[in-house]
Amino acid sequence: MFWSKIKKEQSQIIKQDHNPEDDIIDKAISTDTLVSLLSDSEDIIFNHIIVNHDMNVKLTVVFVDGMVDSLQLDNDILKPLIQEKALSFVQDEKELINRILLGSVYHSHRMRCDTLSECIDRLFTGSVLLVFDDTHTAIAYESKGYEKRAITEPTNENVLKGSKESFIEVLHVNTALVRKRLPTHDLKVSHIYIGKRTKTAVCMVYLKNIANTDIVNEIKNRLESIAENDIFSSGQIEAVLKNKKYSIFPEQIYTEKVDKFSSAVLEGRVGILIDGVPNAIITPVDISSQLQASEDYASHFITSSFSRILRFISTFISLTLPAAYISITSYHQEMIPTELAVSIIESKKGVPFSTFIEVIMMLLAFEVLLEAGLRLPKAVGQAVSIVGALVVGEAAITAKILSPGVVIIISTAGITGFVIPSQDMSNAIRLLRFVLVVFSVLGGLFGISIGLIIILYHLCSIEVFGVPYMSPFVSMEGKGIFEDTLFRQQWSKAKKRPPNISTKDSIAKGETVK
Amino acid sequence: MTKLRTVINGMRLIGILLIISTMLGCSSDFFPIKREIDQTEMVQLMTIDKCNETGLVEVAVVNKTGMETGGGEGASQENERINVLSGIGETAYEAVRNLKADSDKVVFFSHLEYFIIGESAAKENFGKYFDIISRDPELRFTSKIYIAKECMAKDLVHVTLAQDKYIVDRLKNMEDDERVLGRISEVSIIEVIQMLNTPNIATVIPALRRSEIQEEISTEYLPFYDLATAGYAILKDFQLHDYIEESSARGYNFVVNKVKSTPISVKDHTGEYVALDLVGAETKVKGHFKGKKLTGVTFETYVQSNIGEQHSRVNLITKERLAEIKEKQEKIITEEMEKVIKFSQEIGTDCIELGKRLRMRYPFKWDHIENEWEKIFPEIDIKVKVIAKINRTYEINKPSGYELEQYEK
Repeated sequence: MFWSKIKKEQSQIIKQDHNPEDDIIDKAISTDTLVSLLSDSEDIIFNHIIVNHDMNVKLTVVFVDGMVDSLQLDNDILKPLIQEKALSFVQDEKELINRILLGSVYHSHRMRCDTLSECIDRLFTGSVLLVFDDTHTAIAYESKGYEKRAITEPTNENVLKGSKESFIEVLHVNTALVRKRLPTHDLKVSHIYIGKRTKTAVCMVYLKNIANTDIVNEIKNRLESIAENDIFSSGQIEAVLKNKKYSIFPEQIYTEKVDKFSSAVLEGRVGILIDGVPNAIITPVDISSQLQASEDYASHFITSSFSRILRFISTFISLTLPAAYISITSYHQEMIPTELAVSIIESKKGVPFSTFIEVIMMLLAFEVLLEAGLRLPKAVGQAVSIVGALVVGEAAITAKILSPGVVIIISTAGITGFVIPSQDMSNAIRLLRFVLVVFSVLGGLFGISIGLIIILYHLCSIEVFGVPYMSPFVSMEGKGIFEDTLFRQQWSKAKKRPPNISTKDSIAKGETVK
Repeated sequence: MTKLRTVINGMRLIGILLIISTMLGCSSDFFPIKREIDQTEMVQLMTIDKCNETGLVEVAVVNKTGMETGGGEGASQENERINVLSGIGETAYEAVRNLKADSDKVVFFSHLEYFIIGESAAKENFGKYFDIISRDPELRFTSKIYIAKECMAKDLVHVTLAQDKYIVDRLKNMEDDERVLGRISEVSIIEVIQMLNTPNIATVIPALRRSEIQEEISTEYLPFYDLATAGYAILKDFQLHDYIEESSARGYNFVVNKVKSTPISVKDHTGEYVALDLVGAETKVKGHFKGKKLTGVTFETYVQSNIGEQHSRVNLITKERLAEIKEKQEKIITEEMEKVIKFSQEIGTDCIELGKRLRMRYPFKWDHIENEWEKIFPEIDIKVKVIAKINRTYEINKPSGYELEQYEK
């Protein structure tokens, strides 16, 4: 009964969701229609203009206050309409429209709109509408003038060496930044508008002659499949691009760095930019891409190869260290040196909890600290970390609630986890730590082995648009392992694109925009 | 289709888990037994003795608790406690069980580093007391083994306890010191197993003893004991047969190629001492055969030394003087080696691994003498040839006061 009632209510909500204003969209373009549709919103400005003082030729200028550049509107649109001699001889609206479209109003970005819905879309994306009532036509001039953030250093991806340019929330600025880096006709930027109401512009960026057409088409189809869904975050786009819906491993890479994005596009991957989101999505990627940083390409190949190997090792340590500690202290005490074993025994004296409980408590405390640090303002966040880590940690050890060994192990696991460049990957590893801890308390190293086999099995079963997630380690007959995964090749030898993403042109021919 | 794929994936996973579990031979005890580390007693040394009165086996284990702990503000507290647990039983296994029963924690044997077997036990039947060591899967084969000479193994523990010393630390220090002197080389469990299972060679295990030390306490001299090395124990037919005395231990080490460093003092032409620091030694065995018959063996030892000290004020760094020093060094080493070889032949036991080394060097010829080795060994003509070399005399060619000595002359 309860469920049926809820379902009934839900169906009513869905029915109510049908907007009566949708019908108006089918109506002809006119000032009255627009006024009736938008009169409730006081930020929409309607200006009636008489072209060149000729009372016979009228039009209405419609724009959203704050979204357009008023100087541009005055100088490039209104001024020619009032003063341009070429418009003084027009007899009727049709001629006026033709002359405007032919450049009498000298603003470059113009477009004729034939439907009301098109007019509204343009209006709300920062265009100025010139509405002609007699011919039921409108011309949209793009004159975006809303406030935007400056192009600053990336906040989440620290750079020591290399470009510090990062994406901002404005899509056309972002696409321009990419264009600047890849000035080639081959670079395709295709827009898809998602959301019935949000109409968020999502932009696919790829190199036509390099990117795999099947992958491009599949991504396009998937994005189009959610065209009706209103979106506000990149997570919704990520969800539709995800092949294994329940997997916690990220199948895309997020970046706010233009150079990283461009380099991925150059490799033959598809980049996705979302209006209003300063992070770009790169797909398809494999597991080793999650452990690569753009800085790897700015350093010497030996040092960057060392950093990469260190990241792989750190990831493994971060994943397994708490579980290994439980296994060793609860099952396999023979595995550690005697002095260490005796030292652990001493440190555990008086602690009432088992190692498992200690580790779980500490892991949870670590997660809580991390979450608290993220949510709080920066200044307070630091204080929380210090209070949490030093004061509470020290007090917990002195009060014999935790043993120092556990604190060292969990902090080591935590620190090694921060080495992972991809935040999503780091989150996945942090969560899996708990899973392995449970396995370890059930069966020691045997349990960890089973846990790792399951994780490995899962990783091997993931495919991102046909690209095996674990490639090139498990497929491609080992091709590419020494090229750009564990190691970074010398530039003189790196002549091929990653073989696992099946690009149309596998030879990079020295294109090194990394 | 997606559901079907999920089901197939799930079944695959279950299959993998089943294979893992069955291939590991898991039966009822699928998961190992959990045991918290703080509930264990990490014993590091085990002694095995035969009770002279009752004839039962006595096992004792030693561990240390309360390591150095941080006391805050840079200070540290030392709170060490040495625990000795012992048990008696018909067999060593039973004694160990009795010992475990006395402890309020789980006695954990995997960290055992040392085994000491009492003299009476080794004399009666070494194999009987060693079996538990070689059989128990918890024990490490790299652990070291000693024989207690002229005392029970547990006495050695009490000797160190009386001095408030932990026997394991004492043994480790002693091994380091003795290694520099070239008088001892440790033997691990796996090496003993190999020696016991190799026909024609005796098992040689380093021995420990109680050494009496006189210490001045107020005005009186009171005896007290310390731990000391006592050469090597020779086991033949699973019984303690004899000892290589401490004075011959270095000679034995030269013969079996185990000397890494040792000081040798020789007298120069003025009658003053010159200390030679031996930095490397290698002994090769050469067999002399007439047809299939072994007629003799030569031990060729190559030693390298540096001059560590000189008492006289004469220039020794001349060709003649150095040759003289080398000759004297060669003579000392030769004598030490010959003494051990002679002793080995006298007791009729190949404790110098000669049979093993001949077998490795001349495998086909060895086949013909293998069965008669026990008869042949005491009668072989064994020669020792030492070739010494002085590597470094360091920068002081002429010692301090050399010029003065010349002037006085």
